[in-house]
Amino acid sequence: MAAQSGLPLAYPHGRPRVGRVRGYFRQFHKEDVVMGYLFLLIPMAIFILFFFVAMVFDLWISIQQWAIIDTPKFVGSTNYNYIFNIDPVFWIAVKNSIEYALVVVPLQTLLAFTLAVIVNQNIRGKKFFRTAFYFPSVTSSVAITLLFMWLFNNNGLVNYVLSLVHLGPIGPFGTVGFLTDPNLALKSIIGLNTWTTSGTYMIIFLAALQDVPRDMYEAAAIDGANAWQAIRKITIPLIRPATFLIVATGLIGAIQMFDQAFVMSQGNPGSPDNSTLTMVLYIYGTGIQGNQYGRAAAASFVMFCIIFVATLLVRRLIREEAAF
Amino acid sequence: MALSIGVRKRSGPFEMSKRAVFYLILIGYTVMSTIPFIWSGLTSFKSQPEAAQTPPTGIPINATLDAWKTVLGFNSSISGINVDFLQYFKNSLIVALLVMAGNLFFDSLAGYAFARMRFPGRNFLFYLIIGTLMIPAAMTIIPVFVILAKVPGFLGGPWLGTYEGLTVPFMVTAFGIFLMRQFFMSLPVELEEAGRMDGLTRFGMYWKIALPLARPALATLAILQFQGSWDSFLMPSFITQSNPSLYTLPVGLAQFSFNYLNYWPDIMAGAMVVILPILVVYVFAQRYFVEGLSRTGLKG
Repeated sequence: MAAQSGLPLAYPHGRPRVGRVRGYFRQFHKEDVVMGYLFLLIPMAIFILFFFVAMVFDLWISIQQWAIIDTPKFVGSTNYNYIFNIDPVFWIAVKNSIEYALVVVPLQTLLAFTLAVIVNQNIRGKKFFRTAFYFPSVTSSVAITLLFMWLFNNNGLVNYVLSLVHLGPIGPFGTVGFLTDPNLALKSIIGLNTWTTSGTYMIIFLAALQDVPRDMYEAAAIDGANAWQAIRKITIPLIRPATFLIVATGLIGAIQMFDQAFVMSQGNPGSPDNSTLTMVLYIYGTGIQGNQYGRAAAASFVMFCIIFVATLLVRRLIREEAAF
Repeated sequence: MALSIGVRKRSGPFEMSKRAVFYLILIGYTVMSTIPFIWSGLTSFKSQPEAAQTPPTGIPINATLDAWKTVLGFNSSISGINVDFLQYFKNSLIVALLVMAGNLFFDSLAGYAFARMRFPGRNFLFYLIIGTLMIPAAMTIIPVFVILAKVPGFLGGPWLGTYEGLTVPFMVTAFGIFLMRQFFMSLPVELEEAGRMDGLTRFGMYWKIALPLARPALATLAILQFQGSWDSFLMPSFITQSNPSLYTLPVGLAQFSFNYLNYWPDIMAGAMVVILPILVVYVFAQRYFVEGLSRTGLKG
C-alpha cells in the first residue's frame, strides 16, 4: 500500500518486521522501563480503578437491577427503557440541564472575557480587582449558595431593595420569588453561577490575553483600527485555544451542575416543582437515595453521551484545539 | 520610552478616554461581588429576630456571638441545636491535607516518569490520562459509590463513611500529572545526570534533585488540591451519608441548612466557617491559584 503513495521507498517490501520490533525495544533502557512502571504503579492503579474501571462498571451496572445489598440481576435495556419512556422526570432533568448550560455558558464566557479585557488594561488597582473577582470562584459552592439564598429569599435584602424602588413584578406576597417561583428558580441559579464561575475563566482569559503581542495592537492602531476592530480581528482569533478550553470545560461543568440546585432545593431535590432538577440530581436521587443503581447508572451514561456530543460540537464550532 | 514617541503608550486596544467607564464597571462589579460576603458576615452576628426584621439592619444593633457559639457546638444546651462545625472543620482539614499530600506525591511520581523515562506505552498512558480531562466526573458517582461499598475486608473495606473513602479516590488527578510532567520537562536534565554520576538511583534523582527544584509547581498543585478538596461537596456527601461524624464542612453546612431552614444567623456563621480558611489561604497564596489556572494547558 505504501507503493501507491508515489514517495521514494526506504523499504520497498515493507519494513522487515522482526527488525522493527527489535528496534522498537532497543530504544529503551531496562532500568528506565522497570522504574517507569514502578513509578506509575500506584498512581495508575488509583486512576484506573476510580476512573476507567468505574466508567466501564457504570455501563455494566446500567443493564442490571441492583440495590447493592442484593445480587445484581441482568435486565438488558429495561433501565434505559424506564428512564426514556416511563419516568417523565428524567426528561425534565435533561431539559433543565441543557437549558441551564445553553444559557450559563455564553453568559459566563462573555462576562469573563469582558472582565479580563478590562482588567488587562493599564489601570490602577488591577491586582485588587483581579483578587476581588476571582474570590467567589474559590469559595465553597455550598456556602456561596447559602449566601445567595440569604440575599435573594422572599424576605431577603434584594427583595427589600426592590420594594424600596418599587421594581419587579409583584408576586403573591408582593415579593419576587427568586428561589420559590418555578419560573425563576433555575434562572436564579444561572445568575449565581455566572457570577461565581466567571472569575475562574477571567483568569484563564487573562493569561491568554497577556500572550497577545503588544505591538500587534500598536500596528493596528497605526492602521486606524478602533478598539472594537482590534478585539475582533486580533484578540479573539489569537486567544481561540483559551476560548475553546473555557467553553468546553464550562459546558462540561454546566451540564453536571449539582451543588447549587441541591442546596437550593433544601433537601427536597428539584423543588420548586422539579424546576431545578438537573441530570446529576436525578442520578443522585435515583441511585444513592432511591437505591435504583441500575437506573442511575443508565442516566449517567446518557449524560456522558450528551456531554460527549456537546464537546464535539464545541470543537467543531471553535475549530481549534487547546494545547492538550 | 523615547522610542514610543508618536505611538501612545497603552496596554490594550482601548484609549485612555474610556478608562472612566472601565473604572465604573470595575467598581460596580467589585461592590456586587463583595456585598454577599459582607452582608452574610454581618448577619452571623445578629440575633434571629434582628436578622428577620424589616427594614433590615446593616451593622448589627445588638451584636451577639450566639450564632457562632451554636455552630461551633458551645451552645447546644441553650439552643437545643446539636451541631459541631469544629468536628466538620477537623474532618475537612484532615481530608484536604491527605488529598493534597497524595496528589503531591503520586502526581509528581507519575509526572516524573512521563517526563524523564522511556518505556513502552508511555505516550499511550499519558494521553489516556489527559483524555479524561474532557470526561464528566459525575459519570463516576454511581460506580465509585459501589466500588467503595465493595472494597474487600483485607483493605479495611467497605470504605463508605471512612477517611479512606474520602481521600484515596481523589489522590491522583489528571491535571496534577499533566502539571508536574510539564514542569519536569522544563528542568535541565543535566542536574539529574550529575546525580546519577554521584550514584543516585532513579528514585534518588527524582526525590533528591527533581522534586526540590519543582517547588513552584508543587506549591501550585498543593493550593489547588487543598481548595478543591475543601470545597468539594457531591462526592463527600454520599461517601459520608452513612456516617455523620465524618461530614466535611460543606456536607455538614448543607445538612444544617436543611434541618434549620430559617436560622439564618447560624447558617451564615456556618458558611463563614467554610469560607474564612480559604479566604486566608487565598490572600496569602493568590499567586499560586492564578498560576495553576494559567497553566491549564494553554502554554503546554
